[in-house]
Amino acid sequence: MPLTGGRRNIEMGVLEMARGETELLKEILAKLARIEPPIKKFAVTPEDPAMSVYFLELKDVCYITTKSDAGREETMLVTSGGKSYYTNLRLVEIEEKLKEHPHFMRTSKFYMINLTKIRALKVSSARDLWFDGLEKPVVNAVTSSYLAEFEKRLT
Amino acid sequence: MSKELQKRVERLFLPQQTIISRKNELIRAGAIVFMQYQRGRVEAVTTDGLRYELPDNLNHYESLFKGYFLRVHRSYLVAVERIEGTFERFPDEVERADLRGKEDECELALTGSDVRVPVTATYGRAVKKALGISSFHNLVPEHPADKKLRQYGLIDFGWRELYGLNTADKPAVEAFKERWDIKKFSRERMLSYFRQYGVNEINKKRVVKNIIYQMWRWITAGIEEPSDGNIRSMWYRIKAVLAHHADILGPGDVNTFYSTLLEMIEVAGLFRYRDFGFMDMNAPYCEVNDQHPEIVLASEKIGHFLFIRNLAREFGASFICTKGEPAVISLEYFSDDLHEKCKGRPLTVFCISDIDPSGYSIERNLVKRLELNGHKIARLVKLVDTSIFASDDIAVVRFPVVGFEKKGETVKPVPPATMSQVTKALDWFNELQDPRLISEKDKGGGWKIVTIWGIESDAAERKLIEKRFKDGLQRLLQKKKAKKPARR
Repeated sequence: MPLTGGRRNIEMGVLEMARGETELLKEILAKLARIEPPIKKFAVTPEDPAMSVYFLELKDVCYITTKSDAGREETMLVTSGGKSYYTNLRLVEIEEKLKEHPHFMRTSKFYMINLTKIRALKVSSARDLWFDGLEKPVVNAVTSSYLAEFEKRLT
Repeated sequence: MSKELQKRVERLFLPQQTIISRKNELIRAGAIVFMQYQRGRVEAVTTDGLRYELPDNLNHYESLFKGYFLRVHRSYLVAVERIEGTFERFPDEVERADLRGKEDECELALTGSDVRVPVTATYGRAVKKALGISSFHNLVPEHPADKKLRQYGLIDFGWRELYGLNTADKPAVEAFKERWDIKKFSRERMLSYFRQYGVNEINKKRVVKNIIYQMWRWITAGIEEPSDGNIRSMWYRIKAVLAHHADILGPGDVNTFYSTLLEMIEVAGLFRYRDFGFMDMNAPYCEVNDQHPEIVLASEKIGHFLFIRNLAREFGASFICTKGEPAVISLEYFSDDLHEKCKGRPLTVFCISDIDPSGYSIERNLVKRLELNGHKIARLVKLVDTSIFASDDIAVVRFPVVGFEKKGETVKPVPPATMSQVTKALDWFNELQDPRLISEKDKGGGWKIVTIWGIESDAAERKLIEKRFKDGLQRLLQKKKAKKPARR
């Protein structure tokens, strides 16, 4: 039996409501992910040689950069406590692993940063960033090609 | 979607939930590091180290706090968010080998507790899945330098700190040493680095190896004084400090120390004796002269010392008296002195050695060691060979090297000779092929008694040796002169 105009409107309205709720749920889930990110820890080279693996809390990490000590190319993760942790994964590999992480983003050839740890920034052609717990700024942490995405995610 | 949302919100609030102990104390789940079943009791261990007896079994809490507490062992539940790292697992008691799977087991370090919780193979895979990792042991790609050391059983303790250390800053150096000096590790700390797999014992050889390696690192970095004596004095220097902290080495372990040092230097080539500053006891028996340092006159006999020294000095050549097999440390010092004066010129070695397997081995090792120390050998000249003797004299001066009985292909050494000595002597003889250095006698029954003979280099007339050296030297110098472009 064909639907009368009134019934059709009611059913359309119900469908609209359901669609609206789904969108809302999606939005809530996305916001939840920002509070409770899917990846919380990251395996790094342990400080204690007796340890096989050390899981670093990503919520403590301010930025990730490349480092060369004694001719070793490594990637360094710096925490708000001022401690540095190392991994032999390249920055691009870490970026791939953290691509779903709502707090981290690549901001230059040499840096990935934790957006939730920024306490100040200096606006110039690039961006120097100050992080929670760290006294010195990271100079040129955000370079021009990443600037637009950085500002979008920061706000 | 709404179920997913509900699940995630509930998980967010799990740490806020409370558990009631048998004594009606309220414990917040977020304060619990792990739960343990032992001797019929289930206990919750909190961040302040307190233990609370719980009324239900582990299965109950596992299902109630799904996703928050994780089963890692038959007797343990741990708070996932408190997992800080993994260690290799060393069970205190012997376990059935077929139940063990090294890849799927480990010990967990937990934030808020010093207790290491074991993960057994039964739960290993589920734990890895919950942590989103593929391995408990090789998760972080290993640097090739670390891998090389690990495969050799070495740990470069605090290398990064050492790299950035200002060696002039004495308090910083002392603090660094206090943190990483293996000799000062407690027995427990030693166990965590140098435990034998499956046994709760320290692997002494690994300890010794790592101490030697650390001493080398620290001496070359300039934060430790080199040895002012010999290898034995270094052993006592190590042992004295070790005794205060973890008395794991006894007087009998001195041989382990010697053999390990020898293996690391002479087999693995990790470093040199000279790096440690050991004395060269043979120092008075060698010299590098200025005029022709690249001409080396060598003898295995201490009895030739004055003879070759005078000869070498007369022509401005270098000399070395090896006193038997050349000592690795002597060749290190001698080679370095040669490098200083030769400036890359290849060496010509005039050698006086016995005509027997040992003499040939000494000669070969001398050349090998010089090469290992970075020298190119242009020529090796044997100053004493059978041609220096008249045939009649050989029968008089020769001495038996080994005797053996032979029937067809069967060979039996005649005591005191051993089979390995016979094999070496036969190899040497086959290279030489001089019939004057072998004799055979019939024993009966198809057996023959064979003797291989050698000749001491002392038996050669010194005047003849001297003439050979001078002739060889002259030819060499003439060749060099001919090669030099004429000056305009």
